[in-house]
Formats: sequence, C-alpha cells, structure tokens
Amino acid sequence: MKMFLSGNQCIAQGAKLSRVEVVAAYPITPATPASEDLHEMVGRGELDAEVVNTESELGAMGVCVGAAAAGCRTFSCTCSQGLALMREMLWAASGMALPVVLAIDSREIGIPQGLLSDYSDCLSERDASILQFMCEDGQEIIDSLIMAYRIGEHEKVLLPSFVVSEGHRVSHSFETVDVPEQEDVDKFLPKYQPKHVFVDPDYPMSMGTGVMPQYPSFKMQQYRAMQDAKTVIKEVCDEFADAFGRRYGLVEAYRTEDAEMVMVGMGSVVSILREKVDEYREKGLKVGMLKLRVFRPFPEEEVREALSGAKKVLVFDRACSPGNEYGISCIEIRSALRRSQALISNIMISGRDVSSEDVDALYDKWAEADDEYVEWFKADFDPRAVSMCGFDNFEKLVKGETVERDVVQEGEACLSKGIMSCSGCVSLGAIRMVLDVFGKKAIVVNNAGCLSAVGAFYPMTGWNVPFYFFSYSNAGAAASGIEVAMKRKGIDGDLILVAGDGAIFDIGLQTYSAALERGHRIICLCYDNEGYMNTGVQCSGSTPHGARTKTTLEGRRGRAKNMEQIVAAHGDVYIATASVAYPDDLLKKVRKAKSFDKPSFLHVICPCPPGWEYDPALGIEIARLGVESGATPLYEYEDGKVTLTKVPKVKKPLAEYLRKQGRFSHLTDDDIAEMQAEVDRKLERLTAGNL
Amino acid sequence: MLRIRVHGRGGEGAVTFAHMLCASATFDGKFGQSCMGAAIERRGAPVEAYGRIGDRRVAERGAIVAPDIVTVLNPTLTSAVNVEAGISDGGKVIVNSASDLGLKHDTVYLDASSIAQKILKVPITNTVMLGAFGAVTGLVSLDSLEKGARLILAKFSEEKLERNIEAIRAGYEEVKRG
Repeated sequence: MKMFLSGNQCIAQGAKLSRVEVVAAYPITPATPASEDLHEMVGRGELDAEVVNTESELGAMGVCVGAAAAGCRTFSCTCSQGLALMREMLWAASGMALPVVLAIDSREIGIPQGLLSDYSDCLSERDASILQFMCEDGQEIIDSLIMAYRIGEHEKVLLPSFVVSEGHRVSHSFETVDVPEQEDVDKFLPKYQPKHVFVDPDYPMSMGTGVMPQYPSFKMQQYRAMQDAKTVIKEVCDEFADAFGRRYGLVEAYRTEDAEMVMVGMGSVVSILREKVDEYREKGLKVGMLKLRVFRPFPEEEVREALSGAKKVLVFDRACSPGNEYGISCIEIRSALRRSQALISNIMISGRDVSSEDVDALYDKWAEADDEYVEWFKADFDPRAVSMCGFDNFEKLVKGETVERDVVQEGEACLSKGIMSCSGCVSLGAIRMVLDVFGKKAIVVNNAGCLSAVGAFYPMTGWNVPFYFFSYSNAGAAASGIEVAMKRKGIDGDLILVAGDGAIFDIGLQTYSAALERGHRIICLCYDNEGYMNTGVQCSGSTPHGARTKTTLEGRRGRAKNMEQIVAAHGDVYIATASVAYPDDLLKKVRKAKSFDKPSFLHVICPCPPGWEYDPALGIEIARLGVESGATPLYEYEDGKVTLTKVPKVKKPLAEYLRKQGRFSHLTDDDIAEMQAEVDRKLERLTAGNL
Repeated sequence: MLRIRVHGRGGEGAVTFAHMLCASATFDGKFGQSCMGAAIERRGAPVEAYGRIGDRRVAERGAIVAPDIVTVLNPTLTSAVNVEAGISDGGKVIVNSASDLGLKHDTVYLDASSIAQKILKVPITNTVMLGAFGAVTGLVSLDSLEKGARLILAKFSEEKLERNIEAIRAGYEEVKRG
C-alpha cells in the first residue's frame, strides 16, 4: 500500500511487519518517534509486542539481548551517544549469536554534540560482528528491516543487524513509500522459532560464560558467520525481489559496466549520485555509481568487480577515522582494490547535505585531477570552528596569551537573557533563581536535557560562569572529577550539577549514586519536569502514576521513583524539595546548601507547558497547586528527619491540580480518588518525619 | 524540482505545512518530500521546514539553502531571521502579514492571522497559508491540498479537521480575490 511516511515511521512499519515480539525503547533525538509509533501500534492493537521503556540505551540493549537469549524476536532503535552507550551489549548480542535488529538513525557522535547525520556511530561498531545495512530512503528501511530478520536468523548467520539510515535527513523526511502487505511479509518471514536459544528447565543451557584459550575459536566462528552472511544476503535479496518486486543486493552497481570514473557512496547521497550519473552519461561522459548497501559484511568481491574497469574512483564518506588518511568506507574500498591501478580519491562529507550543484563542483575537480586526493567537503566555512572548548580564543589560550573576558558581577545573572527555551518554561526560572545565589562562584555541570539544548549552542553561549556539558549517563562521575580537581588546585567555587529527572532518576543514577557515596561536595539541582521533555515527552522514572506521555499512552502504570529515599540511603546529604511558586522557601534552601561542606540534593518540580499540556501562562499557578494539594510537598531532610517547610492552611483537592493538566485528562474520578489516597499517605509519612 | 522553505515559530505548524504540501503534491501525480529543519524545536523559537516537489522521485535531501518559494507563517519572523536568504532568481515569497514588510523579492502578503483567528479561533496560520500557497503558485490544486491536509491531520477531531479544511479554502480564495 502506498503511504506518505517519514523515515522513522518506516522504521516502525518495518518492525511491525516483522512481527517483533519485544521492543526496548529509550528516547534519543532523532530516533524517538519510531519508538513512539510502535507504542501507538501496540495501543491500537496492530502489533502484538511487549514495549519496554528503559532507563538508558545500555538498558535498552540489555533488554533486547535478554529477550533474544530467551528466544524472542527483538528490536530497538537509537543513534549516536545512545549507540555508544549500548556498546558492551552489542558485543554480547553477536557473541551470543542473537539476531537482534536495531534501527539506527545515524547521528554525529559527540563531543561536540551534533544533530546532523554522519556515520560515526554505526561505523564505530565495525568490528562487533554486526551486519550493517545502509539505507538510502524510507522504502529501503522497511525492506531492509524485514530482510535483516530473515538474514540474521538464518542458521548460517545468527548475528545481530543494524539497519542504518540518516537521522533527520531521512528519519524526518516524508515521502511516498510502498508498505508491503502483512500476509506477504508473513510468507517471506516466518515466525521466529530459534533452535539455539531458549529457556527450558528440561534442557538447561549455560549462556554467555567465560572461556580461556578457546576465545580465538569463538571469534573464528563469528568471522565465518560474517563471511557466510554474504551468500545468505544475496539469496534473501533474490527471494525478496521475487516476493515484492524490489531488488537489492550487497551493492548496487549503476552504469558501471564501461565506466571510467565511478562515484562510491552509502545512504541517501546515493540518490543524488545516481541522478548525476544519468546527467553525465547524457553528455557522453563514462561515469558510473557504486552504492555500498551492506557495509558489514563488506562485499569485497562485488566492489572489485564493479570497479574493475574504473580509472578513477571518488568515495563519498560520511565518517572519518582520525589517524588514517581516508574515510572509513574509503579504507575498505582501498583494501578491496589493493591490486588495482585506479586513482582513489576521497571526499569527507560527514554530516553535510549534498545537493546536485555540490556534486557538479566536486565532479569538475575530480575530472581534472591527475592524482588521488583526500578532501573535506565544506568543513572550513567558519574560522571559529577550530575553537572548541570555550568557543572563542582557543588558539590564543593554547599559546598562553592573556585573553580578557567579561565575568559576572554582583547582582548579574549566571545565565544570560534571551536563550531559546519554550515559552513559559518554568525549569529555566528555577535554574536562574538557584544559580544567582552563587553568582561568580558557580561552576555549572550539566547533562543532556532541555538546558543543554538551549543554554549554549555553538557559536553562542548564554553562560557567564564556567559551564561544562557532559553526556547523559555521566551526571555524577564527570562532576566528581571536577570537584576533585578543584580541591587539588585550590579553586574556590561551588560546583552545581544541573540535571533533569532523566539524568538523575534514570540514565545517570549509577554515576550520581557513586558521587553521593564518595561524598563530593556537589550541589545537585534536579529540575524535574517529570519526563523526557527535551526529546518530546516520554516517560521517565519521575513520571507520576496516571500521567500520559508518548510512551505511556494510556497513562503511566506504577509510581515514580522516590528519589529522596534513594539519595538519603547514601548517608549525610542535605535533601530539600522546592518550588518556583515559593521563591523565599527555595532560596533559603539553596543558601543552606551553599553553606554546607557536604553533598546537597535540591529537587525542584518544574511544570512543563508542552509536556504537561497547559497554557504556558499558568506555570507558576500549577506549581503552587502542586504544593497546595500535597502532590509536590515542600520539605527538608536533615539528620534522618523530614521537616515540612510549607504546609498549606487549607489543603486543596488533588483533582484541582490534575485537572489543569492535559496529561491527566483521561483519568476518571475513581483514578483520581486512588491517587488522592496515595498523596495523603505520602503526606502523612512526611508529617511523621519520614521520607 | 522546486524547493520550498517554510519559516514559522515552534508550535505554529511550519513542519506540518511542509508535510501537508508535499503529501498534496502526490495526489496531483507529482513526487513530494518534506522534512523539518534539523534544529532544536522550541515553542516560539524560529523554525524552518522544507518541501521539495518534482515530476520524478526527489533525490535531494536535507536543508534548503537556495529555495524557489519561501512561505512565512508569522510576520514577526522577518525581523528575527533573514527569510529571503538564498532565494533563487525569480523566487517568490508568501508572507502572513497585514502590511507590506518591504521584502525585496516578488512577495504576496495576506493577513492569514485574522482569517485563522476567525475560522480556527487560534492564530495558527499553516492551513490558511497552505491554501494561499496553492493559489499563488498553482503548484498543487485546491482539491489535492485538501486531500493532503486530511492525510496529515488524520489525528484531528472531525470538527477541528473540517475547520482546517475551511481555512485552506479561505486562504485560497483570499489570494484569488487579490
């Protein structure tokens, strides 16, 4: 059926048609919408699968590996830092012969954090014994996903796969695709009934164990499976062509038969190159194009054959391998053509879009060149691009020159005005209020989230105090490192970890816990908007019971983590909850935290207009209702005892707080009565002095 | 192939405009490809969306730096970003504005905010501007624009969808009336 779909929707369609049984989901831009679609498909009853919302990508891959090791067909999608965090379990998947399929919305890997697409993320896993299918468009995503399961589950292969497409450039592009019928896919891809992995008390297996001298033998097995996969891929592609009329292979050699010059590429750039070949051919030029459709296993023979007559080859590379002169796919091409006389040039396109006009310019230079060359495409457009750490003056600083800088004066804001948060953003108000207590002494550490997306983005920064951005999973560890270094160097300052609920409750909990355990003097400001709002509203460990997000469509089942109890379990920590609706109370707590020589945990609930679905003008009112209804009580925890700091004279019904938010609009009065009882119980506990 | 760039503010439906437009083109037997700007979308912050429409499968992807047609959903954007950046020779601009903003290129102004306010009761102008786009460019028929909108806005309630269809027609007629 013809449908107008985005790349991400194609991912969801491909997974659905493959009848995946377990899906692990963790939000990351730009792959999140694919998981959201799968949640919706399950909600509508179109897909019979378990969708597991995890705490991190490492957890997502862990769920996939676990479910696959117990015999299920499993799926997840991610990119960039998320794929990097999965790494250990990627190798587990291939080592345990588990045909997990991951859709990768390929994205630049940080630091610096990029939102455009290059292949650094997937190609970094070159050696993990994972099949890698590099898709050109949405159609190929759907088709490749279906084929990936057939290939990966083949008894001669039994390996995981990446179905790679470019983030944003393809994932967020809508176009017409032909979605296969379910019954045709069912005929092509039978139900997964693995013979090598299962859970059976009558046949107990020990999986994932250690080996000693046998390691090379196991590696050789993987190596052979990868070699065998080439034949299997060709067979499956033939069968697919018979069933669905679309032909794929290890490569696509386009008008290469008599070509003297051949352009080589992977992914969406191939569409342009194919068009240009037609154009050049009309002018009588003997030009062809080679599309590398499968990167692992690398189709050496097919590449050699397609390029056998070429005098010049130009490889378009979306990822480089610093330390090697050539881009990652060019290294492979050169290896395949090691006995060839062809001149092999290389263009590093990295995350750049390539237009028809761009190819003309690149072609002209290539046609004239009488030797090989390596060139970066549009990479030196901005002379400031070389200054990375502090944006400006990098070169001067390296040389040891003195550079004047404006610093925060008494009464000035740590974070400038005019940064691009959403209208009515309450979190930003909370962050400003807290930081301005510290002024020039503030040293800010931040992890992925709304603040990192708006506070500083090259070449602009809103920060007037030292600011560090670290990856999502590293809420506590990198901050600990800074604290230790500050002590060692005798730097007087207040280290403030500004992190959202995702970073503290979920993905960064491990490192934050360790930081608390070691007792570093870190003041943690957890601005809690009760979900992954930066990626477009998904459920986090802090999302309250009943709240609807894009990954809890019927409202969340279960309660949010009690983070205060978790933090308190680490010993001597000053713990306080606060609200922007009560600035006096908030500031008192911040000043107290500042005065202590121990870790502090300031938990500020921040209503979020898009995430909680309310009129952006009502943020403070909703925050106040949260306190007045007892939903978000304000208290301190010291010496093992809770002290409520704001007790409303008349406690308002919880319904008044919930009914102002669209995310709770589906709740019945009975649901709310249940939640009211829970709130009452919690207040009772707090009033008695317990967390 | 024609390149279309849409400027709006986060939450105003610029990206949806591009999707509706390109989906519409497919009902006229053309090929459409639309995408959002690879930016961090914040409510109220300037955002871009792109559409490409051609007679064969659209090969090019990504950001459009040299558009043939620019659509501006919000008049305040012209002072915030250079909406005319890179416009090709003979390029057109369609702007939601009650007054002439003095743009350099061939520009059509219409007060889409007032029309949207009247029909939709909110100043979300993407459907009004979609109708206007069809009338100004003749690139996609009104009938197809309605079909494209119905496809992309399928999750809307019946009533909200019909009001948006009315908004498309109103935008179309507003331009035709001159």
